[in-house]
Amino acid sequence: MKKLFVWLLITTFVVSMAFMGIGCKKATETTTAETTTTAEAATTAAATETTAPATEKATGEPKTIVYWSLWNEQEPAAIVINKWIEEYKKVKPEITIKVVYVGREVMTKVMAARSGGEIVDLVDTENFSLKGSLVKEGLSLVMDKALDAPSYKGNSSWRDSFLAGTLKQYAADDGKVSIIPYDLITNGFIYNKKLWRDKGWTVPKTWDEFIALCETIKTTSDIASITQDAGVDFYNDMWNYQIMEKLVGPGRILAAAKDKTGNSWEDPAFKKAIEMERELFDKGYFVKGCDGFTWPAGQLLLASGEAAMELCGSWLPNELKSQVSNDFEWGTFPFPEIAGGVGKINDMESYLIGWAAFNDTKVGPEIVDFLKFCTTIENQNIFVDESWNMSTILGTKIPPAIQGLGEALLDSKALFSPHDGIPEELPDYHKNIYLKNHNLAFLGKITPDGYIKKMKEETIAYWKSK
Amino acid sequence: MNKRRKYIAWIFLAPSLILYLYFFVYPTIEAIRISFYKWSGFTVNMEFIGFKNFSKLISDDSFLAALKNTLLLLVIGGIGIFLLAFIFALLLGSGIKGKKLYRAVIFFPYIIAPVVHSIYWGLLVYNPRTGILNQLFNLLNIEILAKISFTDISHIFGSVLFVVIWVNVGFYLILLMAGIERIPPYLYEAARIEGATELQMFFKITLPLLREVLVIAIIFWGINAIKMFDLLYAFGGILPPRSLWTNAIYLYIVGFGKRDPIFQLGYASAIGVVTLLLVVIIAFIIRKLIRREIYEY
Repeated sequence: MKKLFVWLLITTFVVSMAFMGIGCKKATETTTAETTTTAEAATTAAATETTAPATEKATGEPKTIVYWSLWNEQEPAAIVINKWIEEYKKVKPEITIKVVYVGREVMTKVMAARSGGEIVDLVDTENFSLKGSLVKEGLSLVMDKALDAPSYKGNSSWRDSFLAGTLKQYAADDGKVSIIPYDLITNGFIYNKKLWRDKGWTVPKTWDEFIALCETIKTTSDIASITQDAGVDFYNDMWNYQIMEKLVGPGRILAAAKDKTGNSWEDPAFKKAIEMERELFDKGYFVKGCDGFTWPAGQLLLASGEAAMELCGSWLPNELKSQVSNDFEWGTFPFPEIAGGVGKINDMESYLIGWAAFNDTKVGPEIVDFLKFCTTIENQNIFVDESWNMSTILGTKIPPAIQGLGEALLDSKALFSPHDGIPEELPDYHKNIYLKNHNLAFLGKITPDGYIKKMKEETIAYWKSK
Repeated sequence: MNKRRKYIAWIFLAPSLILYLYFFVYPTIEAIRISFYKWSGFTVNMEFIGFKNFSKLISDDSFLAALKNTLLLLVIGGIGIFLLAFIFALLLGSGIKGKKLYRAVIFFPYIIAPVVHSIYWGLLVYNPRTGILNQLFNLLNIEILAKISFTDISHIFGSVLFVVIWVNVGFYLILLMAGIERIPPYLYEAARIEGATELQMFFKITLPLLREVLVIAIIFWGINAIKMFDLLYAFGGILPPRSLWTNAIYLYIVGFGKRDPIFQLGYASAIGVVTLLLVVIIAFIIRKLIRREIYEY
């Protein structure tokens, strides 16, 4: 009897599991089937819908867009998104936007939520993350037709509203655009203008001028020339891809990563870049002890005036604004040109944050309309004012705190991706080979020659394992 | 009557058993199944690749480095924790005044959130410029130590290991003390009359009679050490440095992509399966090493 009871329990469990399995299978089958139809429908509808006058009030049924965001509720960008939603509700009262501020690991949570059958229509995060997940997996709603239709104001095509290159930068391999970028982050040096003015230091335009400036700061003041959160490998890599870009132009690191023979790593530019980074350490320009900083110890030295500058993303002023004194004047300048290199001073990094919709969404046209609304110059200017970041929309303001970088960016003829585009193309390579070895070389744990050797060997092994 | 009572017991056990099977056993079986697939987690398409995820682990330097850190954490951390816990337990059990206060003070770090530890130790203690530690060594003119950057890539693991020991020692102290307090005092009195030293009493009375508690405590530490994540992860600030990666952190990075959109859930599941095996093996070894002997007192 006892055995019978135990078997009964086990059978109940197995049967319930089996039912769940069937349920899941059926659900996924249905979802897949719906995906194909709704994706087409959504795209077609999106193209049709967006041709309607922007100010016309929708008369359709009430619809809900479930939107998961990478921002945290208290962040300026989230506050702006709330404002947009509030304003949009006035124009399209039948559309409800349920926004969830998930934080930086939004894609992980979206993955889990959708696996559990939860509906998420729209997501925003870093474009390289969207491309490496939704776009790569063929799950994103293609926006090309919507982009060719008029913008929200209707005075030009939506596509023409964007800064040149920002839409194509994260397009799929077949050129189709799914990601609508809105937050334009760049990279360069951040400093305190007042301090520099008082000391008589001027913004360098070439690497030689930069080295001379570092030497002046080191010898004539009691503050460090450069601060660095060297405990963060991808912060350290900013030096490498910026130097490489100025030496040989964008795409060379990515090309070497893709070279199955590993021979591309023998390009002298890779070794030179490491030597240039090490020169900064060897000459004592980096703040002492930075190799042991746990973030944000390094950037706090810029805020406290103990370091003259930091190479970082343009998010830094916003991140540090509550830490600096009242007389701190934000200044920024792009990475200097290197003699003999091909990169120009206004070849700028374009680090984008954008939206992508799932192609199984049932509210494709509504999403497109909402995104068009968000990307008007007026709405993007609110974003610029609050977040101190730039917008991808032409005609928007440059935040005063990053004026120097913003001007260079708008003047740029060549935008390049952070980390030379490796994260979205080869994320595991980026993490486990490129960042690992660059970090060791940057911190002087391996020689420049050792770095080249390791990169070559590990690249060959990586492709062999594939 | 007895049989009937047994059935009633099973009926009462059934809900929790079903929940246990559903929430613990089923996901484990699922994880094992997924470890044989190539899967990003975003789509329903899973590609069966057999043991490829497991064979990849053998040649994955990052995994091997993470495994090494996990084992170091387990062994060195375990030695540190139990050594200190024993010392404190004996000191506190020696009739010292304010025993409860000391015990509370030693236990206190255990109740603090890992993020707070990471900020306190990372920014205030270990910071090479302004940290208390380097300043102390400077003050004491111990130049060789003052020069060390305790959170650079060569030293950060050791520094965090120290924090792990400091945080956990209180918990294991409580466990051991509870065991020690159960040992009848007359055994020590008899030993003292026979002329036994404190060390002899520790090895001949305390340790053997503490065996059961010790086995549980060590297994508990083993499980905790192997799946340790929060403190190490928080210590890295934006991103845990590679030197701090353990199996659990590497699994998270590979499966869910920390900044980098890696999303290799199948491979991450293989790491999880290996970690599970590690726990089972370690629990087995500990039980074998510390053989069960029944002492009645």
